[in-house]
Amino acid sequence: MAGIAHITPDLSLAGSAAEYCRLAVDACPNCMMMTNSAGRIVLANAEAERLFGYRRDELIGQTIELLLPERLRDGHLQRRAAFAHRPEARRLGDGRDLHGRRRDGSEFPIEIGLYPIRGEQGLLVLSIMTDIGERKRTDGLKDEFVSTVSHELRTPLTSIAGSLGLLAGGACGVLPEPASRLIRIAHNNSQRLVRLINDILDIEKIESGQIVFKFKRLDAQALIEQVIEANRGYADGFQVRVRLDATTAAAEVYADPDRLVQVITNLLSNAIKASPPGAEVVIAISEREQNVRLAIRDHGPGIPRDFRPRIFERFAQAEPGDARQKSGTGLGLSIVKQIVTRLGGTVGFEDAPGGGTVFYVVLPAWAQVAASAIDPEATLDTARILFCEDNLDAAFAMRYGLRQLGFATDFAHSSSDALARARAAAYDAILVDLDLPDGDGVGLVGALRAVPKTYNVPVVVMSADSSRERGFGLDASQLKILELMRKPVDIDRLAQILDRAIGRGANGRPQILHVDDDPDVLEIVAQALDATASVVSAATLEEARCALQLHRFDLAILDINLNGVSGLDLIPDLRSQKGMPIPIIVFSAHRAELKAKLSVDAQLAKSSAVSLENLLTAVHDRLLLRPRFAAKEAT
Amino acid sequence: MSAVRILHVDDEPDIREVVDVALGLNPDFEVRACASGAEAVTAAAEWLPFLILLDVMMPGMDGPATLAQLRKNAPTATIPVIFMTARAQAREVERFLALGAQGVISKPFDPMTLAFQVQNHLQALHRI
Repeated sequence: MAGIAHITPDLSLAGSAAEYCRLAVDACPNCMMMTNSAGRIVLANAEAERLFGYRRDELIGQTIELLLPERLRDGHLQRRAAFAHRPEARRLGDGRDLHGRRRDGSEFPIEIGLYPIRGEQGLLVLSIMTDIGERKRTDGLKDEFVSTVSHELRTPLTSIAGSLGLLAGGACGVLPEPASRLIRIAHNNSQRLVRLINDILDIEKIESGQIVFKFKRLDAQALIEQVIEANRGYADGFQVRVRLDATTAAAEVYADPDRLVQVITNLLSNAIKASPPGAEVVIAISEREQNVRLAIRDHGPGIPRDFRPRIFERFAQAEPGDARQKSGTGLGLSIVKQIVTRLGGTVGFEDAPGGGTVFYVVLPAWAQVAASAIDPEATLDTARILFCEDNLDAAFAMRYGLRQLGFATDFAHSSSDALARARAAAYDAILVDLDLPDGDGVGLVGALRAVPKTYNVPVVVMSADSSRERGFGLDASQLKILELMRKPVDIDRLAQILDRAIGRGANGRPQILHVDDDPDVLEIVAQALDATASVVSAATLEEARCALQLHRFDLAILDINLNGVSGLDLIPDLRSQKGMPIPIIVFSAHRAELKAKLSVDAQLAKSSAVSLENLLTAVHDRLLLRPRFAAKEAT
Repeated sequence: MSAVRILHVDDEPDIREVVDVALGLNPDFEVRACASGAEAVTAAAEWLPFLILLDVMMPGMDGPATLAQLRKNAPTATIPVIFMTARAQAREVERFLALGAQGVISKPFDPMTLAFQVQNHLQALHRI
């Protein structure tokens, strides 16, 4: 209760509305916490106490890093600064696992939603957190169960389908007519069971991300022709003719060829099954607004109206006993949708003019993908990274993540593309995915090192496959690789590595360390300096030392009395990574006698109203003395 | 023409029998079956088959381990091996080929065309 009282003293006087609000927050089954602009907790509800094992009075006033595993705290400070820089509601944890830390030190997987709120006291951040440990355990059990069951079912099924196939195929002589009919029924249904198990496994593998998509630049027409050819026998069985539309234009898409073949095969076999004998299925390719549309038109009876909303759901089939089912598994369209989504496209259907249905897949055109390779949001002084990655989703996720931390990210979709780009532009660093489709990433790094222009550019490599890393170990130093990272990549750590390699602070601005035990002072100074520099606030010596390990600071502002400990104890730690002393401004209410041997650049008293202005001037002067920023200021 | 010797290795007796009938559709084939990797390593060295059809998931010595052992022994080092595996994913196929297998047939296989598939593999190998 203390926490809520802490921020709602006025509301509680206003009457019952505030009381209802307080009760609602406290009874909310999700963990709710609010932090102020210094990252300190100002509100925590009952579920927050239960989830993390702290009492509310122990949480209020602490930085949110208290609730993170120690190894993640460092990166979080930077992430928090980036969030404050560009506050927008977001859900954390896409593509990577997040963990919380309980009071007893145990960790648990967590899902976090962040919602910025502009209050009178500046930026407040509401965090909604959920313990997803149970969900993860259940998912793991389910995956294991499905994979075991599928394998165990498949073994007897191989014998059954094999025996029935031999009998139905006449391998054991001609059977009498009734027996032959029964064998055919049994054989067809064993085949259906095989497809069903394959489909279930496919869905599991796609959902759990086990299937690695290998994106390539593809000629859509050649791919469609290949699918038509492969399904000619199947179509003949239904007396259905399949052809490519005469108006089809040449179009290139960016997709995984095997998966796209799977999608088109699935839609085509549905169209064939839906068609009456003698009918025609037509596939058309068209390019519209930077997208390529692949449309498969049948002359079937159409999709029943009440079935339409459910058509892409698992085990969704039109009326049971419907003749059109023709041995489907009810999973085909669900798989199609999953794959198309992973390919960065959409799938849908519409009534065809004159009867029948058109199913269509819309995929990004290669030209559009190639154009998106340049990060449009970057300014000239943003650090520019080249990311060699064939998976468009992963590339965009990386661009988004690095953008929050002040980097611009261009893409290269293949090794050759990467080499061309690296030669044409000056990149501050290059990230290489070792799983590139054309040639290996190691070869790419070798090629980069062979050219004077990229001989020294910092390179970080990443791979989903640990065996690649092992095989790669010997060359890493020779190829001057900064770091081998496992996918999914921890973006905070990557940003730290890049920062260090490029030699700059986050957001390309000067970085200032401010140490003060008064949260109000930390907040006021951070806001006042926001236009000039990135400020990392620390309330204790420990926090300050931790920040010093993470960031390159251009300046430190120290308070002398930190709850009885002297802020000046930090002076020996204040060395840049090259060993140069970091300029220090003492900003303190205590006018301590500073010994001459202490390398303090300025001392300001924070007692008067003008002191903040003096501090700004002092900071500005000190930063201008640094040549790196002086040039920028002069323009 | 002398018989084309095919060695089939699978721990499931029923599958061994189905494969025996399916391969029997080609009268040129002479088929022997083994129930384990260890048995196959011995049988292959004695019988010197033209080709080995090898199940991947077997208790004890699995398919890849059996292949490694076959490659180590001089008499069997060059005998072509085709893996038979449940639902071969593209990535797994690549892995098996990298291990030195000549091909992969996924299970459940089509019994009416199995002999034909094996014949195709043999012809391709002879062309090389």
